[in-house]
Amino acid sequence: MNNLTQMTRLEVVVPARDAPAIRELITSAGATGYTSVSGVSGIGHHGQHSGALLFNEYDTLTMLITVLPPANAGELIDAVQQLLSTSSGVMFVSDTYVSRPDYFQ
Amino acid sequence: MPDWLVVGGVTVTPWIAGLSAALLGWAGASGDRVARVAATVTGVGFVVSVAVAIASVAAPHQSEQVAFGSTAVHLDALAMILSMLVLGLSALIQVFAIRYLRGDLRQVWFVVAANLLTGFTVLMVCAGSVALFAVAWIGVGVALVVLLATYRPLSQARDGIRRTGTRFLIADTAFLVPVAVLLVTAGGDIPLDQLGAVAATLPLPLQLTCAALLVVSALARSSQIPFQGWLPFTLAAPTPVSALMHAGVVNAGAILLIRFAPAIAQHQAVMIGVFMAGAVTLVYASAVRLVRPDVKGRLVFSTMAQMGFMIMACGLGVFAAAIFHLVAHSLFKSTLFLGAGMGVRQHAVDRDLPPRQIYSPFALAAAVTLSVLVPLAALAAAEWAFSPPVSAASTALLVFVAVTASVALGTALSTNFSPRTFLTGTASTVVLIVGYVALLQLFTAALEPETTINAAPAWLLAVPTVGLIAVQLLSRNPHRLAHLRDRVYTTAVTTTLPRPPALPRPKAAPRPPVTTGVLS
Amino acid sequence: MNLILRAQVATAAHDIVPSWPVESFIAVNPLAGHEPRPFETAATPGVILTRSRDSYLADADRGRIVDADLEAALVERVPELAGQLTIGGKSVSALSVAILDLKTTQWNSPAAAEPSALWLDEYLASWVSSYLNPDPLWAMPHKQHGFYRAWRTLARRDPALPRTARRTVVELPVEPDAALAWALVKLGVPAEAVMQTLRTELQHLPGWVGHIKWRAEKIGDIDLLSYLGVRLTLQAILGLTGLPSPRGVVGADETPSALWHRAEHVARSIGGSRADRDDIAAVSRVLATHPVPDHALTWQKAYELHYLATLVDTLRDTDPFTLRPQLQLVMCIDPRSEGMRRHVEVLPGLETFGFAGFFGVPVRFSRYKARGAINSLPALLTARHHLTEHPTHPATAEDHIMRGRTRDALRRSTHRADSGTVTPFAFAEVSGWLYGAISVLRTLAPTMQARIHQFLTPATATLPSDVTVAEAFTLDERAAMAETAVRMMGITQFAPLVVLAGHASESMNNLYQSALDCGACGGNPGAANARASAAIFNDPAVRALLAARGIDIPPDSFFIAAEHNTVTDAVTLLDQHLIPQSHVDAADTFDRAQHTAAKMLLRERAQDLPGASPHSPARVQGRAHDWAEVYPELGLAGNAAMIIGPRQMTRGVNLDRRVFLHSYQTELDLDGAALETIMTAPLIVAQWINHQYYFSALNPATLGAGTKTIHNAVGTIGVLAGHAGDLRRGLPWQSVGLGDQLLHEPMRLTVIIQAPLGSIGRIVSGNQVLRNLLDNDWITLTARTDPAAPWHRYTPYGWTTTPTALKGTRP
Repeated sequence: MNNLTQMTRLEVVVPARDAPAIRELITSAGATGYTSVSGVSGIGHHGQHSGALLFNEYDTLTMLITVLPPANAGELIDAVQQLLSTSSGVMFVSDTYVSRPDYFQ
Repeated sequence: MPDWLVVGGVTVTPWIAGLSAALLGWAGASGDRVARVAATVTGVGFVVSVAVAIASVAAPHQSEQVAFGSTAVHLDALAMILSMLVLGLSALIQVFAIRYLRGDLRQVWFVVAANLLTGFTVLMVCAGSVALFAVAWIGVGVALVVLLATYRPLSQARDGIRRTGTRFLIADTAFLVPVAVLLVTAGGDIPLDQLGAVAATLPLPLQLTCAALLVVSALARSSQIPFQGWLPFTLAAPTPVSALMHAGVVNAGAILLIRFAPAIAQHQAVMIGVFMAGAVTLVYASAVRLVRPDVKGRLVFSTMAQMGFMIMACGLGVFAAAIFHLVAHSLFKSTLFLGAGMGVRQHAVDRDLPPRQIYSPFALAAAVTLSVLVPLAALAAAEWAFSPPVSAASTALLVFVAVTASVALGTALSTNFSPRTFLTGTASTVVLIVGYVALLQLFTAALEPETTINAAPAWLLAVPTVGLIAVQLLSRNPHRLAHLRDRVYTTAVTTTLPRPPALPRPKAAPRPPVTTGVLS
Repeated sequence: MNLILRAQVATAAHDIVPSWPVESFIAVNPLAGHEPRPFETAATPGVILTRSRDSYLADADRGRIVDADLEAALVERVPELAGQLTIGGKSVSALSVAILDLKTTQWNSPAAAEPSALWLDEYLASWVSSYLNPDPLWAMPHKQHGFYRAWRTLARRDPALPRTARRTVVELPVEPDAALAWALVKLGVPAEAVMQTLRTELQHLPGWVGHIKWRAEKIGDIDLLSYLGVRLTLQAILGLTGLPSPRGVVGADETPSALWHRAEHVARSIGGSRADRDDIAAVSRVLATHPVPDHALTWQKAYELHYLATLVDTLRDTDPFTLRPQLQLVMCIDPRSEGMRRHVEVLPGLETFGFAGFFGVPVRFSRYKARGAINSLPALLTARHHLTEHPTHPATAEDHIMRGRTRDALRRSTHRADSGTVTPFAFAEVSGWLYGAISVLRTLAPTMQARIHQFLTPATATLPSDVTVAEAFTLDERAAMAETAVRMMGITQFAPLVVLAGHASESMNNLYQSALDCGACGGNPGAANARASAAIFNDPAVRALLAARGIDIPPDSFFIAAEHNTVTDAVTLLDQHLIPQSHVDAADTFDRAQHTAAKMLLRERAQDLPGASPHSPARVQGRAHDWAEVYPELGLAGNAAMIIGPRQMTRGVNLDRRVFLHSYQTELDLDGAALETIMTAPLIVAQWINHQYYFSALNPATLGAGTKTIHNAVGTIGVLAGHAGDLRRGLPWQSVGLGDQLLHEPMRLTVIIQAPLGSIGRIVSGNQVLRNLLDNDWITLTARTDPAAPWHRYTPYGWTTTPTALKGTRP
């Protein structure tokens, strides 16, 4: 597909207070970067979540997105799964394609 | 004024305070009232002792004494100085504790025990005979354990009592042996000024044994090696207890050495032993203090090192200097203990100070030169002005002062090399050094020992000095000597820890490869 | 990298509450990990949730809990308790049967035991504190490699370990996760038991573990992985078998005979000897719905409902200001502000507001040319803007800085002389005399000592300066902050002089001084934020933008910052050089008003403050400088409720400094955005504080810090009790009790809101934290749409008008 390389994309939505642990896992897994969106809103298993709060960054939801080679993704996925086993939050895993794979190695 | 009134005025007030506190507490008075009454009475005792001291300086005559046969309570210069110190600090700490222990269910206990301790301590410093001293000495030990029991329900407090109790029991038993020997030899109580004569009648091996056993007891009370294992475990008592203990009890070792000097000081081997115990403790405690993270832990080990210094001075035979150190350190350490909660505020104040500047090597060289010259000049001037008697030991102690002043001034100037800092720093240095020399001379004149001293040679001071410098260098974490450094550091961290539970026998199973993951 | 193991550590640590250092004390709910579950399930060994039966019975005797409260509590907790039954010919209600049972049946609250110290705990506490030591005289060698690796290198020379153990240390893996994995294998922990093992290990040393969790996120020099690495490898090396996991709370079912016995007792005391077996059986069916383990929380509920009913009863609806007020005073929501507001409102034409004490300006603040800064913002936010100050007289400022440098030089030189190895001996001899004199002065004449100190070393705070708010925020940001503040408080008209008063507490020798400062400013003084806010409001450009958004601030309105000292109750105007000539009189009027109010308030406070007398208010003020004082002030002790609504609800009512007051007007907040901000930030901060006091009061040995008198500071990180052991959490006993009596009435926060129920409900359902707190009974919410509408209670199933709770007979 147009010289694109397949990668694995993880999106994790967790309460902001749990985000540092996920970030730590992502960096430990050798991902070269991630995107963090704070104050995301929506409706999920635990009901409704309003978005960003003016004076409270602690009790909102954060979405973390990272892309890494499929070979490295497996362990991270297991680890995030482990982390989400006892707390609220969701993870979406999908295939994605990037044009400059060296950025993600 | 009759002697018994004067002596009573000085020695009896803590007993009145303690007794009235106990009675009031028993009758159900509030802790606050009990504490106020007791602090006032002890305060009156302090005022009386100051008045007596002034009177005895103004009209020097035979020092006051009340005697029952050979047993005597005797107000000589040492007794006066130490009574003022003990009563003053006790009153001050009791006033502090009125507010500090407000509402505390153990307030009455504290007041009674504190006055019991004060009473025995004053009796000890004023004791004019061996038997009375022995009674007071043991009383101080018991009162201290009672005071440490202020928070007895806490397991840490009970641990501290156990450790203190055992060590005091051993050391005080050792103390009673020579006392008994002396008393039996003399066929009754011995006035302290005749102690030398009585001791001289004993055969030499017995003399040496007696001297050594007396020293053992002194070392235990001052938390010196090998009896260091109680003082660090006494922090589960309220802060005023620590302040009182570090200001008035742990220094009792020097008092014993001085009072029993006629039986100890003529044996150089014993004096060298005293010196070495102090020196080793000094280095050990200084190293531990550097790694302690907790403020009171630092103070504890600082006290231990300072007591080492004082004991060392005793070993050198400079008793006046030891007493001078004892008094100054008591004031110093009680203040630091009472203010042990200042750290957070101090940090907030420091936060607002301007950032430090970096100076050129030229300015730093100038700072170092000035910081060496100014203290030396001040010391020389003071020595010239007061021309005190010079001995090798006293000169060596002055070197400590000079080095300290240089470090302090050098730090100030290298932090901020400005005229304002230079003037303030120099003025403080000069005032403090001149004041020091003058006061020290007053002490020396007042506390001139009458006994022959066969002291440890002053060159031995090189031993602790080298040890201290080595510790200081290691604490900078140099790359060289990494093994020694790690070893010393680790020993200092774990010195107050109990031993780990016994290791079970190693199993025959081969050790698993070290990198096995749990889940792989 | 062993990612799974890292994730397992993070999972095991999920419910651990991070604990802030004592220098910026943040009140937290120590049981916050339990908030997603019902309050009554939060009890663990060593943690109790309620007071003792005797103390509740004593409250019942003195009318602090009346039967109506017990009835209301039972209705709420046991809805199936209804109807009548006949005992021995007498007809009684099921409720009264249950109440009789409450008062007669014995139960014991589990004793809060002193945590037992294991050798391993003591060893680790020693190493962790030496490693984290913030101001070391000898820094730990190899510290730069992290906790586990530093320990691994040093432990091979540790004389405390047996020789064989030291030899094994040499062979340990270099990385903490590999070491942890090795240890788990060596200890024979099966894969499925790893999580439980890690959880159990993290329950030891909860103080240090909580601090490590905080530190891992905020500073990053240590984390729980390396802590567990050391802990478990050591266990493996020494062959310490897995520690017994703390017992869960065993909710043993009541035996039928015990229930029968209870029922018999109740039936006999109602029907006398005429009560027969059938009566007893009927009673036992009623009592079975309210088993004995539930009694404690029913008592607690009744205790809280009594307060709620009394509070709601006192609320009123005074007239709003129709004329323009002459003075407006905005203070923090802190309960201590309530007293000042009540007394200062005696001045006619003075209107007060309550707002979060950081005034909506979250900053990191440093004084002019200072080396350090404070994060003056709620713990819920991250500092993004740096505020500092510019002196108005550069020449004076330079002189001040020079003095500061000299002072620094002298302090450093004494510190170094005292902390070297060769120098402390002569230093003690030379300076001991001076220390002694200081000691005497501090003990006998603390106020004089403070004056001398202030004269010798004036603080940077005394330097006239302006805050650099325009550099910290863009114009749009400033206008947005101003608009938010106005809409949250509901200010409709502006007085000529508007005072924004932050607050700070002043005390000496008090390691917990930060716990008395402003909670909304992260345990710091609130003056900087107030100054920034005033500067924003006085900026003509900001006012122009506000006018465009429908907020008109008259040109003659001037905003000025102030600081309320909660020990002396002085409200000092700050930045007085900024006051225009036209407002000098108004400022003087305010100054007189606050002075009078302070006198009244000091007398009022002296009645509760241990050892104080209303006749000598000066002595209460003197506590600010007294180093022997362990009760400088009572802080937020007594806090019990939060009222969100206009001041008309509470003006003129004595709320005893127990209520967080946040001003709010529905009219200025049609979309409910401001209410959402209040309910998700100030309310959460108030809840953290409330639960901190609650649990510190009930569990002084485990969740509180215990008595201050044996506290031993580890730098500015925290305190130990005695010479070793765990870092203490929570508030000291002197914040919540005196002797063996509580000064703080432990009650879960009662929130009262005056706003449309629909908006409140929408906000709650959109926020998981609020849902957790309310649905699980950690806090309660009572609301009414407007003064004419009836009160409603929030329940997980919707709003109810539970009139019984609010209509009990009032003493």
